[in-house]
Amino acid sequence: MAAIRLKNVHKTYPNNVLAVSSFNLDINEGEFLILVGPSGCGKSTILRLIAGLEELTDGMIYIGDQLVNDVVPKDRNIAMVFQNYALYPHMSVYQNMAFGLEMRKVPKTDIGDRVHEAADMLQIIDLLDRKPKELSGGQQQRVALGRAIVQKPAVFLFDEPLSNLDAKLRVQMRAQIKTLHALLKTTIVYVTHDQVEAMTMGDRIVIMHEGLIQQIGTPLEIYHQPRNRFVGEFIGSPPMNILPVTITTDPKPELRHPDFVLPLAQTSAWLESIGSRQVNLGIRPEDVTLADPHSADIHATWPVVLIESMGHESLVYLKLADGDFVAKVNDLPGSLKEGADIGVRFQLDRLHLFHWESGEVLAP
Amino acid sequence: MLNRSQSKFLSLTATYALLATGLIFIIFPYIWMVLASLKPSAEIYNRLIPTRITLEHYRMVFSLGSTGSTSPFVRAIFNSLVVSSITTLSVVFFGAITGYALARLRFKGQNLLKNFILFQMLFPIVLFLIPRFLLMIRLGWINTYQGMFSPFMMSAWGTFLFMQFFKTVPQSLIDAARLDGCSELRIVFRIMLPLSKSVTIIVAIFTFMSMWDEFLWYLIVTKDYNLMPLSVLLGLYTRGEYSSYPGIQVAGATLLTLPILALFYFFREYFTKGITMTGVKG
Amino acid sequence: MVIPYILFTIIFWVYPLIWGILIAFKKWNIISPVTEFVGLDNFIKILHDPLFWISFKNTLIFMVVFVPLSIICSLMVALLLNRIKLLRSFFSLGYLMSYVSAGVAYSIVFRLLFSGDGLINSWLGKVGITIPWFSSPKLAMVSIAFIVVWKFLGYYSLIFLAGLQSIPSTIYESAEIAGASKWMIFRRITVPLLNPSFTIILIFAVILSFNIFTEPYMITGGGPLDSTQTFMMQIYYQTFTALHAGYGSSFAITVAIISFTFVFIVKKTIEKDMIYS
Repeated sequence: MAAIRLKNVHKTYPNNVLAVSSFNLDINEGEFLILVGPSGCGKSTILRLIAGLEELTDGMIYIGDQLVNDVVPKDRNIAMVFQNYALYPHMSVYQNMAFGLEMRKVPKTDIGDRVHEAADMLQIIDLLDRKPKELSGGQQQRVALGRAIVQKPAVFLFDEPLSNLDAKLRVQMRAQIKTLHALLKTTIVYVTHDQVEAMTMGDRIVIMHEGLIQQIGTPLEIYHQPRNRFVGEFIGSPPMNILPVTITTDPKPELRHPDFVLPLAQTSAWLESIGSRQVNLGIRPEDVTLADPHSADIHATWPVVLIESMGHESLVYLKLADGDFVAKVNDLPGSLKEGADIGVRFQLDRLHLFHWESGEVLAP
Repeated sequence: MLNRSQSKFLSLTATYALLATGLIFIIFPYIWMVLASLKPSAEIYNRLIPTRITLEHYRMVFSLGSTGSTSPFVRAIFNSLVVSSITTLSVVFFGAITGYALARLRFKGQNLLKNFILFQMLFPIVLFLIPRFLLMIRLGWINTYQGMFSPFMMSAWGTFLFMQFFKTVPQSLIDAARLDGCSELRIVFRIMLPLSKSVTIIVAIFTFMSMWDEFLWYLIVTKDYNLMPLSVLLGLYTRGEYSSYPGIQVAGATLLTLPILALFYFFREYFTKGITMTGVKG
Repeated sequence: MVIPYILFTIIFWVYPLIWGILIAFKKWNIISPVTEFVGLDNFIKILHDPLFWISFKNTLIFMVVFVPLSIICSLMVALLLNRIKLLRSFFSLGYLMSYVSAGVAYSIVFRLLFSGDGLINSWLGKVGITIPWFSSPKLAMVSIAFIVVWKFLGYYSLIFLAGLQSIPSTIYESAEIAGASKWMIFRRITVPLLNPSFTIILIFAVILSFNIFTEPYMITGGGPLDSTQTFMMQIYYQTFTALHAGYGSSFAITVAIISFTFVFIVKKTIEKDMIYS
């Protein structure tokens, strides 16, 4: 177990591509930290920098109390699980798991014990004599985990470990990795582009975009208080609806959209600091309710384009003059049908206002 | 008129017949050679099938030279093996590490070196014969094993082949090996080479074959009959001392051919793979 | 990790290359410590050396026989191999057998087999002819070309076969549906699409023609009447028998330039960029 500290980390690749800049992050001992973002956001670069597989352009990385900038990967006391598992195809499962220990000159009997212990934990004892190509995807994944576990490292690094698995296995493995973390209490840095993995597995999430940290927080913080439009849209499925609106204070504080007007409850001081201006209104699909178009307390009425029902909940796609709107609802009003109009009610305490240009949230 | 399946059958039969006829022309010299080495001298010139089988030529070959000492042929076979094996090991070893560095590491001048290797392959051997010979004189390596193999110890061709193949190995395997504590050399020999079995074998057999077959260079740098590889010894005997002993010549030719033929038999699929994959090494 | 390669290349490649070029402008008999700078004299001497022109002529004779014959035969074998499935690898390996034979060994075999009183002539004698394969000045170089065709037939066939198999079968099918005859398909589709194979084989064949040594050295010794003298044999005799290192070196450079020119011409005239999805 060890804490990890990244201070002012920069990484520029030889072809002058800036992968990460001004990256500061403290990862606590024993924490399960998720790095999430779209592909090319620099999350894998961070992982490879921690592992020592890439060299820093600038900045400092500490693992535990040790500055590891000039420490080679094998001496960083870390283990890594790769997206394509990276099992050595010419070695058996046992040899794969034992290889790193052999390289570190661990005594033969200890190697055997540790491999069997890990294999037992992962239920792959029966597979020890097989070659990787004789294993299913899920089994290979578990061997890759085993290979990391036998090292007894201070930190586990996961690089999109589940993205090559099918949906059902992914759910199983998610649970297995969580269980392992609870058991071993080793610090984990876990890279993924999958927001479900991010939300369900991590103690904290780091959201990255174009080499920069967008937000760091617990899953719920990130979900409820996105710091900018990118985070708001990235987390949540389907993504947050974004509508252009205008803030006015005359005659009273309101958000104006061609199709609706919403009251603003913010303090007058806040309103004064903002002034009248155009902003983006963010509203999650699950933060609206649908009602009969003639109901009294609806905010807007839009035509229904498509209804996708998944049983316990439904996605309703609405057509606006300048875009689309998605609602995720449990109860479907009786009058709801494709082609007809439907009334929409926003949950007023769940609105997010983002700066028109910078996308930063306009916090109340 | 023939129907479609009949004419197809006929054309296929013709195809096999033509291929088989051609194959006889290819194989006939081998058959003749082996038979000639086993028949009495008098029959070598004008009979295909021997009236009796005799091992006298081989007995001659293995008992040449002064009594009590090893036959020069036996020594020559040994010399050929030594020179070819050392070269093969060296070409594989240095080809693999250089190819790995070029394909998977980053260092200054990397692209320059890559292009230089391609550039090297354009230069015909004729340009190097004389100055390398002079170099061997200067080093005092005439009539030594190292004189025979040193110019061939590293090959642009082998390095290029390893480099091309190593490019296809997933980066994560190399990363995993580094995390497991492998040095770069270990990565080459514990991970890359085992994953590149075909390329390794191809480089090895083609190198071994070309060194076994080499003639001109050995002819230039060895004057000592005790150190000559089989190809040169047989060549010089055939043109000199034993020019009127066709039996010894064919027996020697058979001995020179058989090891490579055996190699060909055991690694046959790698020969075809090597040729179709690279088309290099003429 | 690349340092050994770089060191090796400097010692055994760059250094000899430069040294070779330098001594080409010198007169030197290897043994004496004295070298004399003679400028372009060696190269001028080459142009007046009858053996240079004889070797050139012999090389051209070799090429004129070897190149078309080996290409036609190996293309035929490749086309035949491409038609069969059963036993294909048996036959391709069979044809490749001659490629693995050692130069000295097959030279000995062919010299005996085709000698004036050898088996082939004793068979031909039964129908009343004798062919002086290696003893006629007119025929000797041609015979040598024949046996080199024997050696490389299977090798070139495999290159052609790989080329044939890389042509997508849909191209043939669409041509067939368009009503092209077999010959038209061969002329207009197969041959143009085999361009990369033709190019590489031609380049190999040309380079090989300039490097012929073992066969004439072993079989004819350059005779009869210098009809099988080759560039390589000249370089060998000049340098290692007559010890004219400077002259040999300038000879080698001249040959390299000629062979470069030939390869260049081949590339320019026949190579086309071939891309098909």
